[in-house]
Amino acid sequence: MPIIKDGAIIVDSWTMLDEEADVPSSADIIIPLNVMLEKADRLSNHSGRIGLLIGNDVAVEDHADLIAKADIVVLELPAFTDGRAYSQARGLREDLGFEKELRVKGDVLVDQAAYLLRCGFDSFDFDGEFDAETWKKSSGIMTTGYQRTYKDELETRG
Amino acid sequence: MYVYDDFDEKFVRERAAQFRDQVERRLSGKLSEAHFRPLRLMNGVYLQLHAYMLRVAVPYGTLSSPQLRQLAMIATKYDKGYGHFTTRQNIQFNWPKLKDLPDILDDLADVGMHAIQTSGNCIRNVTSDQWAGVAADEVTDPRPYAELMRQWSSLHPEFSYLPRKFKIAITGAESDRAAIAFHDIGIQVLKNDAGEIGFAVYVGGGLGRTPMVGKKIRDFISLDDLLPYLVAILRAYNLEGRRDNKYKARIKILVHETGIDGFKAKVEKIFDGLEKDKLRAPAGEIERIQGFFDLPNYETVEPNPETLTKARSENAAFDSWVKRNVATHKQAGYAIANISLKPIAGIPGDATDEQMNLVADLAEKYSFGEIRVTHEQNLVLAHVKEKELFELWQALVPAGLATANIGAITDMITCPGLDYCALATARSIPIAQKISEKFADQKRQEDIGDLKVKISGCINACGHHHAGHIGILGLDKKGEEYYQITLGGSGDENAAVGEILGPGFSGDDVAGAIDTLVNRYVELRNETTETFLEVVKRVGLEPFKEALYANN
Repeated sequence: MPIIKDGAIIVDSWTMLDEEADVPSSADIIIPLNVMLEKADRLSNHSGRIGLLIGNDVAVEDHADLIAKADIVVLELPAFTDGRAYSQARGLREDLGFEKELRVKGDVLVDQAAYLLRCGFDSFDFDGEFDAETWKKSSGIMTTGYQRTYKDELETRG
Repeated sequence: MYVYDDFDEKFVRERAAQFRDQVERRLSGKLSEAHFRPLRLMNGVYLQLHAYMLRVAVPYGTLSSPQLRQLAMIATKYDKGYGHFTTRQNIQFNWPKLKDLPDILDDLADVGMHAIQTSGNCIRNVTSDQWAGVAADEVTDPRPYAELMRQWSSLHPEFSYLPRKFKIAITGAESDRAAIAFHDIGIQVLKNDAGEIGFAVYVGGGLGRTPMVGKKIRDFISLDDLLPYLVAILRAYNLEGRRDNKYKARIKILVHETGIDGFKAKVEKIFDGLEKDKLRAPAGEIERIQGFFDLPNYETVEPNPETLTKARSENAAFDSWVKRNVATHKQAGYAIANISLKPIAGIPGDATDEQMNLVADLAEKYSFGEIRVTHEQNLVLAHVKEKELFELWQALVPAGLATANIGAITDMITCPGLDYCALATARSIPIAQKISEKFADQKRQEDIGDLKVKISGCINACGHHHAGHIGILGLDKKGEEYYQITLGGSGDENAAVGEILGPGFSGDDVAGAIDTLVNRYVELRNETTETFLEVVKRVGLEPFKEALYANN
């Protein structure tokens, strides 16, 4: 599936591991939060970077320490109508101060790009097709917003 | 009233341009209906039984004369010459074409209006007391805070894909005319002993198939913390509200299942962890907004002038109208004139383009160019000199806008029902029309007094039947419409959900059944001042059941 960053498809260096997979000793890996909770000790010697895949039902503030150490956090969008990741993202960015890459994976719609960016996501793992032209147009139409959010580039009042 | 600055205007223009792009992609097939649906809904565009429907936001129910004229223009140009005012103080147009919708949004932007979030699983148009700013029983005008919330909730990046829709209402008065107890969040503006403004916050109220009265979550949240506190509630709901079943997805179910104490604990935990400074209103913003809600320049005029008394004594119809439709204003010599959109046997809440133009003109002439829309689907001119009430009434009569029935039995809230709505299980409008005809006699209406009848054409309860003193719910049984009757509901500060009386009635028999109930009430009341709800409370449902079902 295409990974989008700054409006373009990028070559991604991360390997996403599911719960059953053996964890390689090197390579940049993204592992589910519960695997991290179980194998934290063994992973302390991992030579590559480690990222976390966090489910929608996780309260991010309960895992502040692990998140602070992660090199990337991936949140899920199981359906484009499911908005939990937006709240998790703002919690991560604005309340926990997470500064590294924040990725959303799943049923991303081009028309949602602007809101996702404003909530603090900076890369997108698309389930479906990615249309760069529509993305560019759609995410740039609104230049104004009433809310101040993480690294928000929109014009706000006051 | 609030007037857009350059920033607000740029915002709605951009939003209209964004929707134009989405409609173009839909029409060219680039965007599927499934993906277009939530996008159009968040711009107030429904696909109804016969056509697209556009619901335009009237924030907290306040309109200027130019805005109302623009709505009339839209009704003329893009619709069939009328619009329908709704229980969220909005207006909806039933017959626009999809290709015209972007132009309509541009036309709305021309007068500082939009259709943002009048539908969809997001924060809906914030509603308020239609007498805000002029009611005699008010702590303070709630509309500056409603406007603050309108801005804060508009295209909110975090709260646009909630489990379900989210409705907020705010009142500044003790008497609750905004039904705050039946909202996802209900807010009452208060002043503490130090004279500071704050808010009592209620959560988890709602109608629909599981009606619930909201529960208090905070006694007094400061003005500074209002928006952060709303973020905390919405975030708790967005993260934990049920998404497995759309009928259990409203916040009321979450609050009910967690208990108010458990839910409050979640909210407070989030609130404590919030980086609040960024979430507050920008410095000076509330003062800037408040500047738009200064009271108009009232003249010093004599209260209860002789011209009024004389006109009332000489004209019985005018006297009835004053009695029922005119309310006390906090400024001596002024009155609140309510314009009924419930003519006998008419369609509740509908107004033609001509009527809208007339009301816009009359507002300019008599009421500082400002119009209010009520959640009970009527209009209000909030600042009319008492000495000019007779002139105003004379202008309303020929337009069919002088029905003297505000708060009376024929002033029914009625949803569009199966005549328009894709969700409806039964018709509502013809039922309202039959009841209206049955109680057309002015004398009888006056004798009955205040009585709120509310009709919904399906379990979703858009017609607020649960909150009706008499509620009517239209259902479908094997292809036949039938109507369940509830008694004892109330949408005010003593909010209550009505109880079902017994087996339902066919469409032909509903008006007769209401007639029977009302006659029973009149027999039972001790004095003419004992209200319907007081009687129901005193005697219970039994005497009413007996009256309805004794012969069956």
